[in-house]
Amino acid sequence: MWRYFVKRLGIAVLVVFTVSVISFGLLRLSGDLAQNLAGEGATQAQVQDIRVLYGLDRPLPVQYVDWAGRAITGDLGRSLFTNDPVFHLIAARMPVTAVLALGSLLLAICVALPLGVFAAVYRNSWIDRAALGMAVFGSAVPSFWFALILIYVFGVQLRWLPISGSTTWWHFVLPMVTLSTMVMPQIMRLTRGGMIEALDADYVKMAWAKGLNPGVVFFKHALRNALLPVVALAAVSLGFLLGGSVIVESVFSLNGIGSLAYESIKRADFPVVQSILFVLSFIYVLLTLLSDLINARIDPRIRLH
Amino acid sequence: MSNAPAPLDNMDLAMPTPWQQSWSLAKRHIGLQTGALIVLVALIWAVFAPWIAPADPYAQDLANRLAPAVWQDGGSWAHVLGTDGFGRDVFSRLIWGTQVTMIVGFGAAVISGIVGSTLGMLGGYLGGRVDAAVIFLINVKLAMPGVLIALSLVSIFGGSLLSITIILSLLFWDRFAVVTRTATQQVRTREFIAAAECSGASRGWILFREILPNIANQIIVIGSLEMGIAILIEAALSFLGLGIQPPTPSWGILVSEARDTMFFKPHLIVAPGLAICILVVGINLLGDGIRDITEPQGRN
Repeated sequence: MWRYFVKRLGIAVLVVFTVSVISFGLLRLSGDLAQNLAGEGATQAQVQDIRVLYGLDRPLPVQYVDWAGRAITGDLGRSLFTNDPVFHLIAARMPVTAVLALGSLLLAICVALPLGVFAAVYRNSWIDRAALGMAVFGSAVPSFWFALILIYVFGVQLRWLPISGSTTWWHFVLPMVTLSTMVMPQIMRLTRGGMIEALDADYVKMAWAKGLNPGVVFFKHALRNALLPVVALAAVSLGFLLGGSVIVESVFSLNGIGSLAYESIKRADFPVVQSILFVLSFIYVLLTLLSDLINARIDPRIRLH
Repeated sequence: MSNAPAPLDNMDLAMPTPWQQSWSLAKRHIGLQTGALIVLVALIWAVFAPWIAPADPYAQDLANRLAPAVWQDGGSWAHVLGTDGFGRDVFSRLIWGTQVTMIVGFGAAVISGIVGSTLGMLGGYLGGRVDAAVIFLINVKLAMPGVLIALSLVSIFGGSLLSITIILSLLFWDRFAVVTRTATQQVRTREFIAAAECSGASRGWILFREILPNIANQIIVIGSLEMGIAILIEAALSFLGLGIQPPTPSWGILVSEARDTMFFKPHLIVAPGLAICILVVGINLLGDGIRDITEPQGRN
């Protein structure tokens, strides 16, 4: 168990490091930052002053080490436009996105898990076909368009739900429904596939042979084994939803991380963009690490591997 | 089917070739046929847009803005879906949008397919350090928030067709790598690989002449999946204003342009969105169908 944990942690640290180098380098591709900051009418001397002021005159590796050293202590620099500390900007926007992503994941699981189980148990029945049809549609519908259709139907025509902002819980309903369609098909398919495999397995045949009642066979023997990959997928999906909420946040005017990233990208506010990319990757790596550990606890086969 | 016993001829006794088997499976596969039909129509629209589109997709007619669609009051066949806020014919823009969609989707799927499959095959065949490096690269890729990276890259490199295609292909190579790596590991243990190695075939020969044909059908399935996702993301980027730039008619741009008038002209939003949805479903059905009819197990 310890060896597995240490190895897994080492890889996670290396991944975080590489991602930080990439997200740092990415934003340096955007041309001469000092020139951008100084504006169009700036003289050469003014540009040079800004370059020195922001430390942009130093070699790139030095700039990176400087940035990374401060990032570890939680100092992610300041926004080039509002001059606020980036850490505060992200902390202020994180709750909306976290609620949105967690709620969407929960909603997706609540729908997809039972649906996947039923589809597997009643294979080729109408419920299986309906579930697969929904999955096909769900993975083909553009989320920004689905959001607009929901706004039109439930916000404008029926007037049931608010369509922009985040003041009450009701404001989160439509964004969560939209976002959950992005992960629901995968969770449904994985549950269905896992259940079908488990139901065909010898230990389930054994359970039937022992004369256990169907409820015990389905939920205790089959579902438990089918859930292992779903735990991993849920962690991956949460990371994906945190980064993928930009579209939904923009359509529903929610002030989360996604809209902060979008605004910052549009005005080339590179410390903010770079930090958001880094923080989201960090959260993703943490989540997958956690899910691996959970799975290793549940399933001894993994930790002996 | 008649009840009378069919006369035996040589064809029934001979083992059908893989092509014949796939073809006979395809004739019964409704999903595959639907998908193929949708993709074929989209291809025709994309290639022959200049001849199919009834009007110039860029021509503005400010005297005839937001004209009604043919089924609405005052609509005419001159503008089947009506006109947009600049008086441009929406149906023509929709047809021309197919071009952008197909080029970006297909281009991104092919480029990411080449990159990802090469990495996956190298990792799966060579193993050891190369494999560890490939797995590490995949982990790094998975940890990065793809849509945000794409948005930042478009803001840096601009929204031309070429840059969008290349940027999107950076997002999708990982699934190709994961699948081809596993598939290569399975194929690698087979006798014909050992035979090729014994007869002194080069690594390049083994990878591309022996392994690749055996995993090609899995690559095609992933390709269709990723092409669908690339189309969805291109539309989303264009919708957010950091993708294909107006006035080029991308389906994402059509939706974003129709957003201001969506409350009294909802069909302007419905049409391009539905087009995306149908095309992506079609591509996925086609991919799944190709997998079903070419699956090696399915032949026995």
